[in-house]
Amino acid sequence: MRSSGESCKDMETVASSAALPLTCEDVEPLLPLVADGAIMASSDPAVFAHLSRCVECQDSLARHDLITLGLECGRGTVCAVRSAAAWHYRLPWPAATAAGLAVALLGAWALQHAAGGSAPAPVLAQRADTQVISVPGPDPSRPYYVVVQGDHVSVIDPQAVDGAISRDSSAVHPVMRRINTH
Amino acid sequence: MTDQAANPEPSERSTVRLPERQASPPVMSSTASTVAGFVLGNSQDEAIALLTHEEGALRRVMQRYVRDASTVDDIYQEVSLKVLRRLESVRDPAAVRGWLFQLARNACLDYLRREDRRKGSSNEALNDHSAVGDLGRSPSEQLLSRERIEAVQRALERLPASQREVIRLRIDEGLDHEAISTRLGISRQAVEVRLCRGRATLKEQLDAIIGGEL
Repeated sequence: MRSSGESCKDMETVASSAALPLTCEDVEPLLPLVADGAIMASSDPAVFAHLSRCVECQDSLARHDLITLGLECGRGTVCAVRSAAAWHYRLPWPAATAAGLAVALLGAWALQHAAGGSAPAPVLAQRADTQVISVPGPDPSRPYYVVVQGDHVSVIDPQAVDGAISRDSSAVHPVMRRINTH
Repeated sequence: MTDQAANPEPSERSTVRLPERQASPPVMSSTASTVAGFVLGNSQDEAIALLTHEEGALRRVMQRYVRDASTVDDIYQEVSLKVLRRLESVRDPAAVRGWLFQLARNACLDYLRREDRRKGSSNEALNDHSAVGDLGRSPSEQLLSRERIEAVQRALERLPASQREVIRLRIDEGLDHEAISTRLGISRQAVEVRLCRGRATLKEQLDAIIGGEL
């Protein structure tokens, strides 16, 4: 393993030989700056061409990236890693609970839906980071539940065994389906 | 431990190349080029052919950052959509794989940061509840434990003050290299060398802690 001083000292040599295909010895000293975002594919394609095919340098860059994430956790912003101790006290969130919370409001919504009401799907339960919304399923009398947690959306079929969370295949972009079946 | 006396900062003629941030794909003048045996034109079919060919490599990159297979699926789909939208502007065959690598890595880092924020907020909100079980850890935590992060942060404290200051301005305040240069009254190249050396030292510390694991 090279020392940090030696790595950084090599950068001048690397810069002057950029026209040649780069080796691991060329790229390794630059990885701190790749992790920093100062070196990017658009302006240093040779560095990224090497990274795209070199498993060892990919591994090394991933470690630099983890350091970045770790350093970001030292900031004043909320970070899950920093508050790891709290994870042992998380509320369980099984699908059955979501379904149970939904029952009280589901009847009223189903009546409105059957009567042709055009109101948006009701929010059945809500926490700071989570919404549970009922949506019509294949069987109109048995809605599915959509759990929205931040940017992540899951669809729950309450009839599934153990209330298992399933992915809604209809939400997959048609192009993606085409790729997956290509 | 590296220090300034042992590793003097570069003179003004040092040539560390540090391009500006750019989001656009690399461009070459020809209208059709080959990469991985495919002709790159402007059609979606060509993008799909490229993605099909590179899917394995992209997924392996993602698996370095994200353990959960279904999350890798989601990120792969996200990256694929970006490729479909933007591949037509890529003309340099030598640059395409590097561009794909950057897209995959950036998507993973974006996901990790997003999930850290989301789970961090959730944990704070739930901190006073009693409950059973640990339904899920932050994706970052799955890769880098709290103990390891604390070790990295202790290593940061042991860095020479000049390197630590640059890293903190970059990470904590989000200043770019030019702004740090102005703030500290040093050259941009000096900023970059301090940043590089400090990060490299932190990487050595992490390597010593986690060995061959990632």
